Amino acid sequence: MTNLLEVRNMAKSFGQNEVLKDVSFHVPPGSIVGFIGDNGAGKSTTFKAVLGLISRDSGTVEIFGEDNLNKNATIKEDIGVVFDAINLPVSLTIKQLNKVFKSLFNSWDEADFYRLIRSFSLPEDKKIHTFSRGMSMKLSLAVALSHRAKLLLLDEATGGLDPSSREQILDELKAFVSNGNSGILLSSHIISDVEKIASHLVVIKNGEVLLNEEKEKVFREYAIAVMNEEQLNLLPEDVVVAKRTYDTSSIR
Amino acid sequence: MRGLLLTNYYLIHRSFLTYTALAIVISAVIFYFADPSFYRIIAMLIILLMAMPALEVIKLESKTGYDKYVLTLPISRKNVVQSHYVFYFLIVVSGTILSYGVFSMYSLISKSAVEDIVNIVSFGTFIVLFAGALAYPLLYVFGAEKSDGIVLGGGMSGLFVAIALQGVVGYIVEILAASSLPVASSLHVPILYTLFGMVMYIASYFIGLSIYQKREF
Repeated sequence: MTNLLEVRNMAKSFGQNEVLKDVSFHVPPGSIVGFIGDNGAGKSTTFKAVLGLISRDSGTVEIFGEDNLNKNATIKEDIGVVFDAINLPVSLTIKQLNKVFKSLFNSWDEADFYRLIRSFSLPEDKKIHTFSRGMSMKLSLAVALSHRAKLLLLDEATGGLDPSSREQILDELKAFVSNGNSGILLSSHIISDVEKIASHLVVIKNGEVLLNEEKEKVFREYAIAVMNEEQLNLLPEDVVVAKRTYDTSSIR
Repeated sequence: MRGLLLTNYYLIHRSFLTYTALAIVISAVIFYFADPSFYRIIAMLIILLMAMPALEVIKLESKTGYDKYVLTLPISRKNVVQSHYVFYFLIVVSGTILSYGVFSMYSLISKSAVEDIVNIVSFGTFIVLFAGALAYPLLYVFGAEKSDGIVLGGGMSGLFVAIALQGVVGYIVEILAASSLPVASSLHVPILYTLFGMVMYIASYFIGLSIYQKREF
């Protein structure tokens, strides 16, 4: 089966700053790919490059086998996107938003949208700018899940949610991929979220993909070890995926 | 594009109605207190005040990041630019119609016709169309942060260009008067101003489109 998203050798620089270097990964159908990295690692830049919001210097991006979103905008019917901040027009109410998206999406499912709105306890007649961050993220997710998308791209979508809302969202995301035809690319700082639902892990640091594996394989074949510099130098280079340095001089 | 136009409308409909009401009130004050030589201002004021919220759309979209999000929806960048230009044009047309309506109402109430209504309104329409033609490409280049200056600059430039064009329009009117075109001579000036405005607006659309296609978010 064709991957829902295939990124190959993608690179992007802003001036002299090389933000993405040879990034490759894919999202197979039926999978939730956890995209993990620190602030500034290149996660959001990757999302923007995949969606054509910024140009890429090199590499290819294929979504459902197609490589140019702007030439064939109808592909975006099948893509749901949530960014890390509310990006919806905040002076609208949910009812007005429903009318807008009904006009924009051929596959807009009004019943599903309101089911999610009620499930997330969001007020239908209040303007979006009155919502808290958590409410705004839930609304963004409701929109992404309401047009029969096959691929979800979620950039820090669970940030700012209380634990029970996060649990609710994660359940919706698991249900989304349960048919085996859909997939999710989910970037997050919250490792527990990724651990809970991801089937694949992609770790990015300083614009480079350090790890791209199935989650079960990572848990089976990888480990975290704490050691000093001397012991680290004894290990073969290809065994070390990532390391973090701690200053232990203050520890007694 | 219907969804994009609907979003634009929802974004500014309150300020649009407020500015429209303000335009009518100011027009009434000018009609009542001012000298008839000031009536030219009314046409420009009505159309300009109604069009100002339309230019705010880009600023409001940018504030929330909707300008970035909208490109993830099943529309192309061309659709986005078209929606901005079409929406502004529809507002200008509404302003033009309201302008005629206000002048007609004044004529009815005062039982005296305002001379050269068509010329006055077409002058105002040209200024506002020119303002939009200048503003949109600049907004795409410099972003919404500079929108206040761009909108003000667009309006002032429209006024200066309209005045500067009077010589050119006068020259063409002389040629047309000597020709055998089946158009009343009283309509030559308004048709020319409207035509110039439309040509500049359409040229601006193509410039704006080429800028927006390459824009990064």
